[in-house]
Amino acid sequence: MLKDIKYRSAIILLVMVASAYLIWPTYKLYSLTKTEKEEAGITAIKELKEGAINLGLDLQGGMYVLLEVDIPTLVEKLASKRPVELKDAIQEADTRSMNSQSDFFSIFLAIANERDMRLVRFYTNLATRRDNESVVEEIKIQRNNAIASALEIIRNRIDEFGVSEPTIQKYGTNRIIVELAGVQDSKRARNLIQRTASLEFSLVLNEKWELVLNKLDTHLLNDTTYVTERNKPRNDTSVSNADTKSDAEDIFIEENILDEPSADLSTPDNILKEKPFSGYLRGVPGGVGVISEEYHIIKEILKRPEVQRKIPREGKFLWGNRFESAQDETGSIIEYRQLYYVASNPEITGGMVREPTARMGTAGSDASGRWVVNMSMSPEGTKKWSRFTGANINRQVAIVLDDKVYMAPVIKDKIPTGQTQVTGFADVNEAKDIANVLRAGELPAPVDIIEERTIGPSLGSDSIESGKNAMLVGLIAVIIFMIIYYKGAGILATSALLLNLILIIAVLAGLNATLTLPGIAGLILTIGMSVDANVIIFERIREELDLGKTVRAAINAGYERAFITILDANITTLIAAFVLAWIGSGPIKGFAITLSTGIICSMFTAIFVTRSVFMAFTDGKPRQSLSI
Amino acid sequence: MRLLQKTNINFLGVQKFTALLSISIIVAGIVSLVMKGGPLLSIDFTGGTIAQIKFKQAVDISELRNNLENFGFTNAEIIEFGSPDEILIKTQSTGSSNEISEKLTTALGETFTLRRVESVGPKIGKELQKDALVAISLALMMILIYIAFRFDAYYALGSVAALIHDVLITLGIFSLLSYEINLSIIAAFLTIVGYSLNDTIVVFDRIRENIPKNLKKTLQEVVNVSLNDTLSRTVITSLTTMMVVVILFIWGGEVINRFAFALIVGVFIGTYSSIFVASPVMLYCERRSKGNPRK
Repeated sequence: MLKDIKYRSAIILLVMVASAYLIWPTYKLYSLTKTEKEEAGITAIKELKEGAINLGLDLQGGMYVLLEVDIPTLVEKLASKRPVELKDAIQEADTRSMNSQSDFFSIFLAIANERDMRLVRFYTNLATRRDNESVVEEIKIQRNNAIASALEIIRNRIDEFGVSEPTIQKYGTNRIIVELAGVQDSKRARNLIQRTASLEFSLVLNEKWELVLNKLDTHLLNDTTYVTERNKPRNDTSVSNADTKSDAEDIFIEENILDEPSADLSTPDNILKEKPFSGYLRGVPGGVGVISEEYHIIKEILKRPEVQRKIPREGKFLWGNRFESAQDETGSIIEYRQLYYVASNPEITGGMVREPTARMGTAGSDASGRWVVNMSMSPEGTKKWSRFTGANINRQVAIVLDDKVYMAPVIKDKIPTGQTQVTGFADVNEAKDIANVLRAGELPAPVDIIEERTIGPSLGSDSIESGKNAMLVGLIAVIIFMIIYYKGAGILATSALLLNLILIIAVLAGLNATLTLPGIAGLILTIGMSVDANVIIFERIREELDLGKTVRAAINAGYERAFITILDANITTLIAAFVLAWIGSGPIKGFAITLSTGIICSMFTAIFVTRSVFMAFTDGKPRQSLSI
Repeated sequence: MRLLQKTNINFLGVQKFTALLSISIIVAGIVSLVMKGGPLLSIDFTGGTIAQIKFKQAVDISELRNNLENFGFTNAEIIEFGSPDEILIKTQSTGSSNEISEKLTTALGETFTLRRVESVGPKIGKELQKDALVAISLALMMILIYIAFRFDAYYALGSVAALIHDVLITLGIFSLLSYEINLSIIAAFLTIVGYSLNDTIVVFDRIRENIPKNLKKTLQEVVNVSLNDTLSRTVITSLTTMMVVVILFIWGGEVINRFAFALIVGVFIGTYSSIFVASPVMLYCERRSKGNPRK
């Protein structure tokens, strides 16, 4: 049937109609002006977008973030008891899994078995069976639940942030991809996604300061490893930040140190000889603080496992949420971060909080002119809060969000209603975002951003512009060359090329594919490579004509022989493209998809369509010459 | 119009010379790779941060470098990117776009716009490295199998030799020029693989067709005839492809500039290797295994 020109024309016509149908939404979407889009309404635009080619983040600007759920922390949180030996095992598993092919869980299981730990003792809440294997399996199930809920929570938070069509999807076992097109304020978006939003109201244990400081000082004086480490030159300790995880804060802090080479405010060595820990602490307005130059030293000390063991179970150290500055006794300005010692068991947790909303503090109150978050509490929370505030009048309560103390007001009165106000935010956005994340709920475990790509909108439109230009110039150059070189047949090949481009766009729109910058490059490359099929055919026809065959026979022989060559050559390129599409991510995938679509469509246009035209040309009357 | 009339070039006659040429370029590349401790990997693979910044007017890079060094960008590499008012900052530390932007604002004031920030954690870098290696080897292996199945094992060896030749040379040239390998360059490499194969297959296909037609000729002669038969196609396709990649290089914008450069090198080397590497290696392998003593 393919020998019949009528059927061939019908197929070509059908393909062209289908292409036009597929391209229509794309054409319409990108020809609408901004006001027209607003008039059309969100649902109509959404419908159009579903059938159209979308622009990748690198073309329209936006933010791509790859998040990893902090599995070790999650595993620790899941435990019902958290003794040091468990924490140790989890940390060890984490370190080992960084440099190994096996995953955290199998290493964790191996360590537990090595050390004869019975995990069921720490996970009484989960255990259905008593052996370590089943406990780890159970933890894995909990991990999956945690990731599913993290996904949901992040989705809720972003919905409130108001980005059009965010992509939030699971990737692998413990990762989440978030794509936010057109986001301008990547800082806010990042905080919003990453915040764990664990809210705790805990009693500040000011009366225990002396006891715990004594304990730590004595410990550090006797700890030989610490003393030798500390006696190394200063610079060494400050860079010894052997934290493999990227701790954004640490980078920032180091920068602060570089900023202020001026007066040496650091604690004199003779004090540290007697008080290696408490020597660093200074009285600051509102409590105890550490100057920014020494912040990381205390942070490191508190991280030491032996130090952690010395801290009484009832309490923990927490930092204030930001650096503040004040004048010290000598009159120089110091920048410091407040340190709190608070009860380790919170009185109120985020789950008991209801309806957090950000507002401007009411005039006349303490918070007048500042942004606050108001909240009420669940019946259980209200009862607890009322009892707690009643019993602790004149003591301080720390309001802790994500392990940072936002404020630590003194309880002046019993609060019977549960109505509470939190202050201490840097600006309106912080207050609003915190109210938002509190509403959306607490993440089951912290998430780390392990990859971030942010493209500004101006770069995206520049890329489109240069992509368009390159494509146009490339197309014109190839067309001119083909027409000069192959004359009539060149015009035919050129039409096939244009048809090919239309087909590619139609297929990409049909696949609802995303066009990226490498995708445009793939399209441009296709322009050069897809004429290859016609070059092979035309060269073959010329050869056959040289052998003295008739026009019709030469065309037939040319197509027949060339077809096998083209097929073999294209399939090998397709293999490379498919592998790229399969393994590559993001822009690379976009490139591979346009390239393979281009190859497949070019087989249709360069072989089937051009042959049909030749057939129509030689149909009926025998031709004496061919413009080739 | 015809660029090439019926040719009769003895391509295989210059085998020794071309082999020497290829080997010396490859060796130069490998020496450079070894001396530089492997290919220069971008932050996609090593982890780190790049920030692309556009200033309102042209800036003095060295002044900027000194200025930024005082603000915590100590080990940062700062280069001009495309035009004198646009720069690229690369650091090994991972930081978010907002930290970078805060630091830059304190250092430079509101004189710039942050066009792009890419930050990759070291863990992801390692994974992407692994993925890239898997992609390239998997693609090569599947192509090898396909050709072995469609032609025979000698052809497969010849084409893969050409591919490895192309990738090694491109990699070597990137190393010699101290150009970074990032994800899109890996994509370019695979495209080169595809393109070079395309060329090689066209030649092989002609050899396969010519063998029964020229039973009196030796295989070497058949190969030479086939190379001549397909020469004008090879040249024209290379020409059209080269035209578009050169245009992409010139007009495509700074972001895909290196990608286009890799393609230019690749198209050139790919065309060369389909003539001077694939067929000779195929012939050599066939002779070795069939015990034909004639060199």
